[in-house]
Amino acid sequence: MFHKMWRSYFTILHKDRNSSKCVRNCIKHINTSVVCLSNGKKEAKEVAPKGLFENLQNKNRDTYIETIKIFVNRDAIYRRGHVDFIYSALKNMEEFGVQKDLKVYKALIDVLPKGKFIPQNIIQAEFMHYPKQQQCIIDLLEQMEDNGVMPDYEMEDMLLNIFGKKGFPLRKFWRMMYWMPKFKNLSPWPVPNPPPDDMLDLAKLAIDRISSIDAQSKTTIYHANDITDSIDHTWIVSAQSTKQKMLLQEYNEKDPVYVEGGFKVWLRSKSVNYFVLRGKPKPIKEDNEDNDNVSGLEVPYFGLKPPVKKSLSLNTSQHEQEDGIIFSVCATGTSSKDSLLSWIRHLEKDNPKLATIPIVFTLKQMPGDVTVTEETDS
Amino acid sequence: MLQIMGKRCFNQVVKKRTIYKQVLNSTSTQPVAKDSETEFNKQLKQYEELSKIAPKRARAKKPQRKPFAKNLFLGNFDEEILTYPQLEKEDIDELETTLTQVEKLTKQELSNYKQFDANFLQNFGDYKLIGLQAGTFENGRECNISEHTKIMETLCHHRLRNNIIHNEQLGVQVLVKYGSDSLKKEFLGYFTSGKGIVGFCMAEDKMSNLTNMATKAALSADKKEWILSGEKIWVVNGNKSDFLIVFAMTDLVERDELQIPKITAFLVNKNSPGISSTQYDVNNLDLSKIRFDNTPVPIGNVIGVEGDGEKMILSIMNEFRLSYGSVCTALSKKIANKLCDYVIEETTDENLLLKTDAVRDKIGQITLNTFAMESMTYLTAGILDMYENQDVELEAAIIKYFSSQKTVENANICLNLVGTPALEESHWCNKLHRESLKYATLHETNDNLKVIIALMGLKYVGDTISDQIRIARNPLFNAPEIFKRMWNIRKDIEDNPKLKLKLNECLHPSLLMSANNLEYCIHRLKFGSEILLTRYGAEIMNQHIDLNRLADCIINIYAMTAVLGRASRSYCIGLQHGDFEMLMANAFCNYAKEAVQLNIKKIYEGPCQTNDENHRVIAKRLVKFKGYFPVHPLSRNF
Repeated sequence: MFHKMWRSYFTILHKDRNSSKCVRNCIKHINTSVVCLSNGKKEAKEVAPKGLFENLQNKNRDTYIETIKIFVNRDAIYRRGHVDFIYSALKNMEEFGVQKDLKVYKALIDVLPKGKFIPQNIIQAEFMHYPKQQQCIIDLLEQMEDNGVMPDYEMEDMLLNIFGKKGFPLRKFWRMMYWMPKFKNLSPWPVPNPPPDDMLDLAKLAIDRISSIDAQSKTTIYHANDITDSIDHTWIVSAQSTKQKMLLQEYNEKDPVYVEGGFKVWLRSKSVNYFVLRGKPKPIKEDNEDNDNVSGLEVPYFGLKPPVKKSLSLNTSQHEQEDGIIFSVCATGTSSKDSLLSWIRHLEKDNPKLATIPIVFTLKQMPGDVTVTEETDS
Repeated sequence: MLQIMGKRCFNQVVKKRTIYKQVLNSTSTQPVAKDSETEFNKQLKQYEELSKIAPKRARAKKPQRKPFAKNLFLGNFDEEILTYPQLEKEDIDELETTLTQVEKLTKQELSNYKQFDANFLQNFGDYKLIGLQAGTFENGRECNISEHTKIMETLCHHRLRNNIIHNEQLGVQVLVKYGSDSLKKEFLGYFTSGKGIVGFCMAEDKMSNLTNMATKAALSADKKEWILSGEKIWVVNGNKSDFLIVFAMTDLVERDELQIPKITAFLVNKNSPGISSTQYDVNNLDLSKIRFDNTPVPIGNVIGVEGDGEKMILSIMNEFRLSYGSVCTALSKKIANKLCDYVIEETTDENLLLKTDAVRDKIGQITLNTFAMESMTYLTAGILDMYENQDVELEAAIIKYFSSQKTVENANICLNLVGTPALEESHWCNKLHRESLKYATLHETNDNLKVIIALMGLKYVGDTISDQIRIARNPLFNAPEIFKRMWNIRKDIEDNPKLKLKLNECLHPSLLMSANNLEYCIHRLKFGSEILLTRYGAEIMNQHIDLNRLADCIINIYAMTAVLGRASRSYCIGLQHGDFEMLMANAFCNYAKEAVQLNIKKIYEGPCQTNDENHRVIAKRLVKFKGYFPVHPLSRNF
């Protein structure tokens, strides 16, 4: 039955490869449906030795590991209440900042006794021997997966020693080892894992990602200090391509340009505010060229110019959108209006035309001084 | 054979040369001689000189024919072209005496010159070897294009061939063809006598078409001068030149969305104010970047008509491309000769290099390549001489591509055969190899040229059979025609076209097989270009991979035509080595047929069965990640 279900999810997966979330949901669904058959209510499990983690003063990795050691040593033989302990440990992981630490997960699995839970016959194996314990470790693995922590082969050995080769946690482990490496590097815009803590590095990554639409974009870091009269002394990461410079040069100086933002871009669990310099849209030319008419092709005598139309007219660039022309994009250290003003002053050096164009600041939210925000709820 | 000879008959029409009249007029309108004796003597001398000059016999041309190579794309073959052109007996006799002089000059007297300057050029001037097509009264030889090409080839035995050819083709020749009478009178003698060098300034940084040419010229306030400013790149002989031919935009006419640039050519004295030049770091080639800052140019120095620059550029480029045939032929011959000497030298009793298969194969290839490029060059030159105002832009481009590409190939083969000693920079093989690369890349790269070649052909096809293509692209609206078309191309789809042109009747009977190969290729080319136009429509402009294949086909077909015509002629009239020319023609046709067959097969199969789509996807990825993207094979994921 299990395999049948798996196969049906597998087909769904193929339709939407990019979404790792989809996979997670599928696996979650399978697990819970399997659990529902064998296990009772979830609330019943949460009879944990209360306060073991919650009451600690110093919440960090060392105290977390220490707590696990204390639990293991307190009752070396029977280790009563280990399932409840693991659940409460899992719940408190984020507060200790260990939710991405493979070693901590291993330490938690290691709490379980070895050998006792291995099924001895086929009936035990099929009907989920020690269901509460198995489900507990499945939940642990699930939490690992949600946090993007990839298990290793040592964990396979541990699970094999605890639940045997027919155990459900091991099957879950194998599925994880099949999918997780495949999803790990699937992002078209890779971000280092963990993402850098430095705000400047993060902003650079974000702006690089946004400007990657045009391969000729150049990311520059300006300093507001270089502009006289600037109040906010901060950095400005700005990106502009040669095409964008050209578009700005051709822009009608009677029309204003807008500084808009801040918009959010996410890099793993962190987000960066960015701003764009947008101009009024050009009327987009209708592509009414008759592709069937092959008479009058023009030979490009002076160099290749793909992609061209038959009449060698220029195509609209990706910067010219229906709602406006994007001239540049930036993120600043403070996201303040003053830092954006410094950005415009810096851009003026490369784009002299900008000095003659009226600039309107339409900032959607109150400029705050936080650029990088940490994701709070997962 | 009789047929061949018959086709060759020229009607000699004796026509009074206009130029002759002009000179007579100019002598009679000169101011009355002063009494001083020196003045009289001077005039007498001048008159004597003029009376000695005999205007060349007028050569009549046949009426214009349809462009040959372009028509191949439509499957039409002009059999007249299989008759390899030749010069009149008296012309060739005269040419040969000149050539012995030239050969002596380049191989002995001037062999030590390493600098291209006025000293060197004056030797050429003494023998009237500059401005070969200039009229006899302008100190020229009034050569036709075949003679011109042959003399250039001989001149190119000298190591400074690149400089020579640029000065001649892109310098003096521009003046000869387009200069006004007054401009010629003032400057042409100066150049043809070798006192000055001319550079050609056309290319610009970031100039993708003539509309965005950044060099501008405007009339000064008093309308006596043009003021020129801008920057030109890749000027050959830029440093040593005394005069520059500069193309600049004089006006940009804007009509709705269309922009029509008016380009004008100027003859600019290098010593005029505001000219500065920087030299590129290119080995053995004087290549410069030249800047003009408000340089004044006298109004009389406009070459040709103001605003006619674009036409001039295209026509000059044609002849320039054709001249690559002569310089590359000279270089390839040199490679072949040097390699032959080397192999003979290196052969010992233990190591019979001469008789090894490996060496024979390579030498055979080099000879074949050289034979083909030589045949094509003189065929095209002959076509130009024979027919009035013949369209050979496609042929010229083919020659540039084929000759430079094969010369690089020859040099590569040579480099491989010579081996380690060729690593030395001063080794002859290394030098020749580096030089050959210059011809393949200077001004326009061969890849680029190939696309142009294919598009020139397809433009012609598109203009001619636009209606058919429209029908083929909309099968559901035109059912009866589509069934007809399916019936008509059934043999093409089987790769077994019916041969009906009877090309073998224009050639020696023993060339039957090769003639059939040629015809097969022509049918395939037609099929290929129809497929491409049907599949992509006007979008074909951007399908560079398939365009490259199509270009390969037309290049091979034109080469086949040239070698077959040449070999057949040589064999029929009993030239020395005629039998071997037949052999080489057959061998070349085998090669070419294979190449055409493969290329058309790939065009027929389309992007999915060939590797085209894969290449595109890989390239996109590379650009996205701004470099080589695969992770190292030793890296681990977990």
